[in-house]
Amino acid sequence: MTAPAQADTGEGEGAPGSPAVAAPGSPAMAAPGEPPATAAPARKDVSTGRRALAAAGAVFPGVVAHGTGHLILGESRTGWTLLALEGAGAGLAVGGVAGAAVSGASRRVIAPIVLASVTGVGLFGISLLADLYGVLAPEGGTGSPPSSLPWVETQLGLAYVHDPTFAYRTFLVPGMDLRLSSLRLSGSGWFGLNDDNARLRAEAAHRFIGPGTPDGPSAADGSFLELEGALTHHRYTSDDFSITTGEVTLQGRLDLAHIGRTLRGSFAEMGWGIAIEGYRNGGRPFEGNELLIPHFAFGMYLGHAGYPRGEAKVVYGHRHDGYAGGAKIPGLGSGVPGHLGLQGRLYASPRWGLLADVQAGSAYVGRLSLLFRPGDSP
Amino acid sequence: MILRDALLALLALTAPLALSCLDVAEGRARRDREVGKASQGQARVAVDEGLAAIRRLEPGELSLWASAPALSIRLTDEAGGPWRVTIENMLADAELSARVGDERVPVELVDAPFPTQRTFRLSLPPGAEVTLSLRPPDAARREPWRFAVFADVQEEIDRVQDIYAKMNEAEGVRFALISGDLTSQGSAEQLERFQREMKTLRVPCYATLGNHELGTRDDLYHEWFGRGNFRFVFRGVQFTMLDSASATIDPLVYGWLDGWLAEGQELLHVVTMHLAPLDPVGSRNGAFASRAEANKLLTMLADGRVDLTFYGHIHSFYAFENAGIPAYISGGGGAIPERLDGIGRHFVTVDVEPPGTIAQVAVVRVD
Repeated sequence: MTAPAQADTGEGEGAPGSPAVAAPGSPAMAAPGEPPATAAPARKDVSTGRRALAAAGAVFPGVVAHGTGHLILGESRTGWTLLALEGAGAGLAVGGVAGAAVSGASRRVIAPIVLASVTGVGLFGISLLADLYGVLAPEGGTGSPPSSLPWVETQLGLAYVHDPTFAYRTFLVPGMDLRLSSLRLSGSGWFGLNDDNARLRAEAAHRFIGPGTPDGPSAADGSFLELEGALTHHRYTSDDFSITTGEVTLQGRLDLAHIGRTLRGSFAEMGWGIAIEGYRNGGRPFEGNELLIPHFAFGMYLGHAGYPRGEAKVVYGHRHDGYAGGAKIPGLGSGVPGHLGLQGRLYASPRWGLLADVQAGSAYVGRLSLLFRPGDSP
Repeated sequence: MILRDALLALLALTAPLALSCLDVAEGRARRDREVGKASQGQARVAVDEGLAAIRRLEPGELSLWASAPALSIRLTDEAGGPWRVTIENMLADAELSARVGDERVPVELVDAPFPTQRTFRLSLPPGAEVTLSLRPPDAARREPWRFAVFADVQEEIDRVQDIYAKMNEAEGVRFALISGDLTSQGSAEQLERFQREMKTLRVPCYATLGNHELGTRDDLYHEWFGRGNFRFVFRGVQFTMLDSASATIDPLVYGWLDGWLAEGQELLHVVTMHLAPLDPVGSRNGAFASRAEANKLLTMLADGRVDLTFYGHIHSFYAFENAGIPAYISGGGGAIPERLDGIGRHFVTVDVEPPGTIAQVAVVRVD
């Protein structure tokens, strides 16, 4: 059995997901130094009342002091770690905003400021959601990570985009991932069905650590680190312009079981990247610009063994291109923030699965795709 | 079980998506359509194309804040009688005339307390629609002339007189454009204060709003300054001001812009807005939320043969091109300056040589 591959390349979030299928009791399911998650390890006896109090505490004051839920639950080490992550995240975010204010968002220092700020917001959000997950998830977590990824995975989906500025609405979205050991090649396309609009994207990624194809070394869990390069060409034919983007991103996932056993089944992702874009407006010469594309996510594996199983994650992407673009926010703040998204993959069998994806930025984007892993894939 | 958990998890996580709102500028675009229209008792007033904010309408009393050098105003009073019409933010040498049909109605200048403010007196025939026409003497002249552009005063309103003093010294400036962020929060007090500070200027300033005008409510700016999206023509140049304060242009405005671009094809065309479609420093993205929308707008402007674009929001000075159109960011009104750029407070002057040449865009440093 294998996990889903990377073929969520549609909007270029990177952040390859991969729920999966580790044999019960395999190292992939265990937090370091702890028994396998699928074995539903013994957990301190916690009364229902205390668990409810912990859940309430994870909301308030947990929204302010992340880890409160775990502290109430008696998982002090995890609670303090989450609080420390929150502190680090808040420090980076506040420091970033302060740096931008002091420097007047100077062109000479703004790139590291943006990257630090997004990382800070990511740590802040991840620690908040991890606290909630840890007090609400069932014993052993909601699922287990993959031990390997398929050689090939294809997808075919339909997408709906509501952008008040553009006429397009519906898209056909095919895609494919090919894996060879630690290398991944992905391709995808968005083809407008009611408008002349098309987005073609090719990705190549090298995975330094983490689950790979079944013939590679066995991964300890779902955590990974990879470098991804991508080329995207987006034609807005009816609006007479195009955007061509080359980008590189260093991205990774950490299974949060590394932080505490209550977080088994959850994961966090971070990525830092930069894109160079070329715009062609009508027949005019290309004009260039750059774009920082950090992203972060918090997610959970769904299912320990058998089917259905998959994963779901909430994602922030700082990129302002693509269909979703950046967020429009009432008041002062529009322009700088990127978009939010939710993505879920669920496999009904070793071969067939579904990918659901929604994003909210300058547009609302929804996609539902059928995933297929050919028979000779593991 | 897995399916249910997955659905519940997805549902719980959808809340953040509600933070994004696609129609952030729609309310303001709709409000634009109401600017310049009012009725009170038996009196009605309508300013053509909404080119002035009606600051006050009472029996016998009308006060306007002009958004353009030339205005056409239709005023009707069923009761008739004497009226005082006050126009703020007008060219000092502009004259007001009045007509009912082909018949001229006498207008008397009664007060000129500031260079850009005049109060006129006239008598309205009962029930008749009187057309008031404010016209500067050089509106149609085809000779070289100059205008100024600035933006981003925000919290530095206490020092704005330095800028105005330099602007008053600049020879030949007929008016200034403000590309937004007049205030720090857009409160009524701050909008009032900005208008009060402008009284020392010898020339009017035609403004669009910036994101800082949205800091309190987004419906106050229109009361004080009028439309955020509008255009006017002066001395062979069309000026189009767009409201990009929410890092987007409302779809309603794209419809208006189509017409404005068509009408401006044969003129020099200057487009001004607060947030630039694209920040020349892309990693900062002090620009539109969507690069796709940015390119759509720029393609429209380029296809519409726009000659010059001015932006604010970034507190420095940049000269670049977007979609082949010369572009300038001038955000030197005093708000936290971009460091390490050696620019500081400034405004720019633009020399126009009709019929179709921008002779020079010059930075005037204030500090």
